[in-house]
Amino acid sequence: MKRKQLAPHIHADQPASVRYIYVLLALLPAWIGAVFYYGIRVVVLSAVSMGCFFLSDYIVSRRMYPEQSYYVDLSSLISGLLLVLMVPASTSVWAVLLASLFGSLLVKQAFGGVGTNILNPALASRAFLEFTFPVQMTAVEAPFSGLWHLSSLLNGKPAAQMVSTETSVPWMHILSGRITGMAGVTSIVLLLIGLLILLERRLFRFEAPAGYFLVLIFGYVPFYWDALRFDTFFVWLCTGGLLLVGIFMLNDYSTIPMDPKGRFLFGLIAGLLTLVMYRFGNSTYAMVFPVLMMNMTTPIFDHYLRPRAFSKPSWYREVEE
Amino acid sequence: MTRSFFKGVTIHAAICVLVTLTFLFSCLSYARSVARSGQQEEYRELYGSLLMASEYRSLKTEVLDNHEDILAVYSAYDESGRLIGYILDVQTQNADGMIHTQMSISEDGENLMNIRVVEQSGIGEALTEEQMDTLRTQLKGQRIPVSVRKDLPTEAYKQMDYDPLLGLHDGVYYAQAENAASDGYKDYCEIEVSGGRIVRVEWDAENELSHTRSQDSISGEYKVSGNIWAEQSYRLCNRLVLVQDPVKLAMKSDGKTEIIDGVTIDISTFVQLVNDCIANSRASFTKEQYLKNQSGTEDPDDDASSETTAPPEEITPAVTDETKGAPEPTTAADTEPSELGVIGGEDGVVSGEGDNILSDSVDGIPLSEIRTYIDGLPEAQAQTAALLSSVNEAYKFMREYLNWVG
Repeated sequence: MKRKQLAPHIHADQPASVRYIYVLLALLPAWIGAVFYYGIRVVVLSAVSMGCFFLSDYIVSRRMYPEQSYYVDLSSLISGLLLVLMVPASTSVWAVLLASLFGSLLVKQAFGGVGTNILNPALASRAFLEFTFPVQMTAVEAPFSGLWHLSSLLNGKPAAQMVSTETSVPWMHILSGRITGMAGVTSIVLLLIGLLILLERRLFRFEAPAGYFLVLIFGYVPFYWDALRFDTFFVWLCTGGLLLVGIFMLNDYSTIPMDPKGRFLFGLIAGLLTLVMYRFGNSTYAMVFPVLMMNMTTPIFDHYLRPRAFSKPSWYREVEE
Repeated sequence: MTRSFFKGVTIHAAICVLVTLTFLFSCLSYARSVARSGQQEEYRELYGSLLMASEYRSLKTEVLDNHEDILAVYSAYDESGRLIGYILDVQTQNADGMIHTQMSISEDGENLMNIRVVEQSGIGEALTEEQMDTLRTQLKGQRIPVSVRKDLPTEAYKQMDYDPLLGLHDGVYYAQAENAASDGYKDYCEIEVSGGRIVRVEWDAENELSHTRSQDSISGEYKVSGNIWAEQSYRLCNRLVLVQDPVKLAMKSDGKTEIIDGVTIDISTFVQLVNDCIANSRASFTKEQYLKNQSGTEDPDDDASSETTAPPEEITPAVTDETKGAPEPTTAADTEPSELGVIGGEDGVVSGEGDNILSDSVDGIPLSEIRTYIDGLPEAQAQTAALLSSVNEAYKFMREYLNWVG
């Protein structure tokens, strides 16, 4: 018996749930890195965040959108995992719990549930934390500073109560992510392993990330002509969360324009906004808000840059002409 | 989703985990090796001039807890991993000030290889490079512990002329404990005075079987910690002949002395008996009279609180004209300020005539252990002494550490 499914339909070689499993797999190296450097707290935070996102989505969608009841939304797990990777390991479970509920209920379900949300839930949750728990969001820790500490899960204080004073970081530490920062965004190599998985499964749409990183790389010189610090910029570019945003957030199916040109333009503008915010704001804002702002313009992109239909009936062409 | 799909995902996940963990542990291992080599480079810069080594390892040992002056210790290894010596960071303090030194010591803890002064304050003027070179030349390669040459016993003996006690009469004098000690032996002491000086001292004890303690200690029947009792008694008596005054034995409140090499036993009974002998000498109460008086007046109902037999009241020292005007002689009673028998103003320290007390130790190390004597710097004696103190502190640590290591 065939199940009733919502239109529009598109032919794909793999269903959405399969894609999401592989996206989760692509996030696995970064998550392992986070556990490796920050210990058991990351495991607990991940369980809370993913569990809360998933359950909230599941329960609300069953109530509000019974027509979607056939569908098990694995993208909730991705949102939960992305959120944990973008926060300091010392964040309290309460903060993560609230942010997950915010992302699930207000960002996703309030706008129609899976596939209809305007903003990226993980990024919106991260922005929510930036305003509601600003102290916890700045309490970044050095790696290996409290592998078995659990106290911060309740009070949100970092295990070592330290702020990074690193002036020069060895290249090996930058590549492996062994630097003070958010839990899972600091390792270039681990994120690139995730990118390889996405590429191998043909799940990566390169247009938006390409536009994004092109602007970041080539736009840096004119933006910082007076104070060029390539080493600082490169470290920020590679370890400040931009790589995670570029690979995973700009590859979201719901919140990114459908047309390739639109995606490229989307990436370009997001990159430009990132540079502006990095120059005049702070690095966290530059990671989170440009993409969120651009998410809101996606319907406009989709309106003016519709994907071209390759085979149209003759009567449709006549109508168009 | 089929079974093959889950199989594919599982394989992907396994590879992913494997690659990630391999990468992370490789990075960690590499970072550690880089950090280690960086630290070794730093050590080489710091300590290379003292002892060039392929690898330095910081020593973490509980022995360090007993040596507050030792700030840090590193063991040094050559390229083949063979131990070639130790680097010690030492900061010693005395009443005048502080000296901070770093030195290298051979792997057997026997020889000083090199030394330098890092910081010095309060102890005279800072040593100049030339002075330091002179000291280094005297010290490099020498066995430790070290002392300046003037501390040699023979030199010290020459310098110190111990005055005899006043009012002693020539003859042989004797004193015996009233009761046997807990070990069953009854102590006695005999001194011979000639020309106003104590020229012979004998301390022994006898038990009910008429066995002397010295004989029993030689035969192994009577045991004490350290040297056998007979040897310790012999050393103690010799010292008294040298210093003439039991006060200069620097007995502490626990009845022991730290200034006589090889003597670890309780000397309070000895000091008490000697004081009695001295009192007898002043009273011309000879050994014969003492023994005769003792046998004549022996009465079990005597005052039990008196441990030794005192000379009779009627026999008093005859103060001759020659002694008039001289300082009042120190009597045994005067030097007995407390029941514990503490002599001197401070525990184990003799006040007043302090200069002519002969110490058998340098920096708490018995003279018999001192391996090297150097001339030092005559113009900078305090600095030399402070520097050698730090070397000797290092020696004490090495001795304990090497014993601990076994």
